[in-house]
Amino acid sequence: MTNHNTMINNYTLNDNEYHLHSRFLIPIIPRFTTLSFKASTDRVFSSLYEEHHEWLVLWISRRTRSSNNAWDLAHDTFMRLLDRPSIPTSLLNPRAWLAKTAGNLAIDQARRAVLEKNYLALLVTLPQAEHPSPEDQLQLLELLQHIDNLLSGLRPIEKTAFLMARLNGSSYRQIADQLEISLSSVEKYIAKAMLKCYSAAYPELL
Amino acid sequence: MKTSNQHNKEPLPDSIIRQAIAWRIRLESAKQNIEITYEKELLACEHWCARDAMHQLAWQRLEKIDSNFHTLSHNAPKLAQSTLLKTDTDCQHINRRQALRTFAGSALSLSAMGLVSHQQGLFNHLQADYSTQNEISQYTLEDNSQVWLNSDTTIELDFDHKQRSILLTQGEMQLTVAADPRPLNIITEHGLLTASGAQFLLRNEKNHSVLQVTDGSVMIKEKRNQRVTQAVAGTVYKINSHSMEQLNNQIFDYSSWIEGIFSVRNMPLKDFLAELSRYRTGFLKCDTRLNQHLVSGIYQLRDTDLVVQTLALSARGEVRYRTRWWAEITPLATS
Repeated sequence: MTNHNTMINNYTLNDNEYHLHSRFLIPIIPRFTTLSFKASTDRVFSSLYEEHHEWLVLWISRRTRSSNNAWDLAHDTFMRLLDRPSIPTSLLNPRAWLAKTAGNLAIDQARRAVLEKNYLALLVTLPQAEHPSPEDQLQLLELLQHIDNLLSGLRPIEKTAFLMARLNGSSYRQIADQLEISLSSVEKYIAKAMLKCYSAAYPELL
Repeated sequence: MKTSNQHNKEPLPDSIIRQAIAWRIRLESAKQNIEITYEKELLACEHWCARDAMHQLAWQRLEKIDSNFHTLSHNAPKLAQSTLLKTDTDCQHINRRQALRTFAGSALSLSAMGLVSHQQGLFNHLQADYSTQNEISQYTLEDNSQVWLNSDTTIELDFDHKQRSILLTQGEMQLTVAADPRPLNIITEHGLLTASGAQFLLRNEKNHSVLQVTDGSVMIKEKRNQRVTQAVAGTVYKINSHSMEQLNNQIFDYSSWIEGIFSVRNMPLKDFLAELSRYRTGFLKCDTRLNQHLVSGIYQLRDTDLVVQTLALSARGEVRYRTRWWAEITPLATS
């Protein structure tokens, strides 16, 4: 903790850091930050980047099989940092945070790949008449990825119940019968799924 | 219904979101009943929306979320459902096995499991107690630790900028501790645990606690003599107020309920039934002659009646119900 504070307090902007700053900060405007706060956020961000970026790339490439996307993942990880409303207080231990975020991003990436693979495999099994047009196919895939993200973390039975209601239009009674659960469980699962969707869709508004 | 930019960013109280959800569920179940009830509910719901701008906003947001599903249900409901559910199954496998291996050795294997990584949302600011009744639930704590609560479990949290404490007051939890500079203390009736970057299961029983460490290590401080022991991954301990012993870790996987199963190897039937009793209402026992019959295999917790039947078969016995709630496995009359 002391280390980190010292790092912020003793920070001075030199040319090299300024270069990093302009390269990585300008395209992204941090959300929900006031102007005066933004300035300090930028400084903290640059110093974090300077200090940990190389380490993070190494950390990721040591842990993933394909090392060529380590750089991209590290970049995305730092971008996540910018999405946070407050860097200094939330990052008592920057490396732990960065590693964890990178880990989560890697998992998300793997999950998206699995979803795409499954989607394409199942698409082939559809009768020709039900095949969506190529443009629709891509759109559907993106939508599925979005929904998968919204519902992530639900238990399989909760997810199944919710999808039966939303996609098949099954009634609660039908869901209860089919899954062999009580009507009140169905309501509970659907409520939980809706809550999950909400918190995934509006994470910063709670 | 116009939505301005400002509207898009307005935070809503948790209670209003929950109310809006409750309304949607009421409407949806009414829709499937008689027309008249639905009209009445619809009117009541519109009243609720009109009463407050925040109600309206919550409602709109939920509608917007639901609109994601409309396209899919029109175009390819089956494809969508199969893809999502199959991905879930596949990823559960990836998350638990592959990701763990990939990220093994770091304190992060927990978050790498990607259970619920991004939405601490609703629960985050509540900072209240978590509890379950008849269900198993998973939560992400404010420090990003993941906790699974078995049925009938309550925990209390006390997090501040210096430390994290979790008090298991009842039941059973599995905790995957997120990396964090603050120490994490887990307090039970029978001892104090400290962990950083570990995954373990802790069960609170009347006279003792059971600790099963699945990843990392946990320090156990005994209540009586303040002695500290390090429990490493793969070990199981039984801790009570005046002693502690290591249990055989091969017999029963204490955390398998998270996957809805029981995984056992050579477990005496009596002990197995005691474990199974936690997941069903009523009384469950076996004839004393079958107490030591050894059970092995993987059992689905979804249908405990079926498990009891299977056990009876394997023990060459039968299930006798004295009442609906009193089941006993006895040796077959002929043998």
